[in-house]
Amino acid sequence: MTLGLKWERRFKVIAGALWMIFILTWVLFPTYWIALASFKHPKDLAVRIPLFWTTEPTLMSYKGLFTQPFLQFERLTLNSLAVSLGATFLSVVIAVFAGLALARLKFPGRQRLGMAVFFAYLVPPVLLFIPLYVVMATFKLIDSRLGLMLVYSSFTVPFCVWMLRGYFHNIPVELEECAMIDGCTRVGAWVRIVLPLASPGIAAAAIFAFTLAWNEFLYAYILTETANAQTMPVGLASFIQLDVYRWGELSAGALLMAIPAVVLYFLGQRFVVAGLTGGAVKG
Amino acid sequence: MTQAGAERADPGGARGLTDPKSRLRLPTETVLGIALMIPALATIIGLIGYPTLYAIWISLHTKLLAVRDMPFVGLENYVTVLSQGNFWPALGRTIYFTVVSVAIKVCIGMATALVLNENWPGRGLARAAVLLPWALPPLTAVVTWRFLFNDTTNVLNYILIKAHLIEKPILWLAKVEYAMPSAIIVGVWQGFPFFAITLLAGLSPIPDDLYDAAKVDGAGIIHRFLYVSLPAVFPVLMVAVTLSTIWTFNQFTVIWLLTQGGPGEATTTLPIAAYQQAFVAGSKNLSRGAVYAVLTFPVLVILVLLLNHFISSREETEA
Repeated sequence: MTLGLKWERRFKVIAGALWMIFILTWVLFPTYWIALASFKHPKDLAVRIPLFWTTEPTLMSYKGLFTQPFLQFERLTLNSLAVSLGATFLSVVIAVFAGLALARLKFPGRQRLGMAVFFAYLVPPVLLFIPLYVVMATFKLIDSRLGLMLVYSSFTVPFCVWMLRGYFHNIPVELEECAMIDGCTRVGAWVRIVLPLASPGIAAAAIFAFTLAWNEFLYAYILTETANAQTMPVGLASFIQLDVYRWGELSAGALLMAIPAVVLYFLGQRFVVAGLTGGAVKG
Repeated sequence: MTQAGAERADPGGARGLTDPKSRLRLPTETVLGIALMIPALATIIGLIGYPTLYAIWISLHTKLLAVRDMPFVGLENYVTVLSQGNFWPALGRTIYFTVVSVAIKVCIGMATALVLNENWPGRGLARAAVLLPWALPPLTAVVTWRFLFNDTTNVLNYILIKAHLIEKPILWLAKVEYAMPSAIIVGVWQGFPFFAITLLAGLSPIPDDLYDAAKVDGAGIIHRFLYVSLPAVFPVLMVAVTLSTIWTFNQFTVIWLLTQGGPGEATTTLPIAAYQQAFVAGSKNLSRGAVYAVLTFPVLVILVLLLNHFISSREETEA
């Protein structure tokens, strides 16, 4: 190379720094902008020269969000919580059973079953939403929180099974065998040894499953009709489709909805080791 | 049943050697294993397997949203959709959206991962910041970008004009030629962190010795990337590309909330078209919508087979 190592090193540092400044601006500015908008006075939102800072932050948009009669934001929050928690609980229980079976028992076809679970997770909602709508309509589960919770299990269950299978797999079998020599049954060894050791993995699976359900849009959009079962993203989307944008309330709602998702996502990250199974898995 | 499994099996397994009657019994591990799998299998079959087949069934009938009956019509819906003239452009837009988005995500993700893999103060915080768009609900991401693109609140145009990059405001979402690039920008914004983090996980185990050895051999920065970093992350990259292609090809939420497929049909990809046929357009024909959805199935199958290939070859190299 014609470039000396010293110059190359300098080039690398400068290029890297410029790139990181670009990426961080690109990532953080939009987020900053919406957070700022939610605290701006409505009169400062649609102005010719945008304001990059506000000297008088106000909670008006947040108040507006909760007092909007047609939106029923509290009800939307409650629905989102109920559906996401329900789907998460159901999936984690199902996935602990299935994960133990796939990681700890030898039976014919378990490798293929493991892969099938993974591929099931990849089947996109776009293929399923029409048949699921017809099925839910048949069972009178349209506009029902229970119906939505069941449908959400279609992605939270495979996700949790796949994650827990990997986590259980990494716990040494020897620990379990020691407990069995000491007189535990196999199931007893699971309950006393494997599950406690796997609790970070179970927590992470629960957290990620919750955020998947919390963020979901398409199913909630077609399967709910009224505040009976509508979730936050669906309610806020109806806001977008109004003729006159209420940017203040919309930013406040979008931000409030994002806070639990982001906090939980980073919390879940701490529980898993980097890699494809942890690091960045999300649908 | 493998030997190791037989050894670990409960007394039932050991008895099997002496007691001829128990040979007829299934090994306890199999019984327990299948019993524990039942709830998960029931969910997957009931909510994924069955609906997939049912989608095909619906596409062979005429099912309108408001009508209970669904008469069998054979392949009529397929003939209609394929000859209607809006399927092929929608397929073209889906492929365009997917290929361009994934390519940009790979480039930005790779560059970011390479920088994050270096040792510098504050990179932990930078890593967390990069993950932020990925952790946001799609609705929040879209609302944010609609706000930036909007022409009455005009911040993006304001910045670009001040920076002399454009002369007059761009109508990002209202103009046919800008709507697709806008959708790609938002999709890339949300999706590139997946590549950055996955590739970072692939880069970080590469020992420094390898780079040092390459340096001694006179390899410049580009050669070290091409002959040390890239081969090491290639298996991870392929898995990430396939996964992201599946997700991007089937992207509904971002496009729908951003443009609803418009203006005109400028951003009507196959998922949007399926939704519109089933729940928006005229007679709300679920069967027509199902045709669009079913026609994406071969693409999914090809991608899943590719993914299977990449995952198993990755496991082989690791073993």
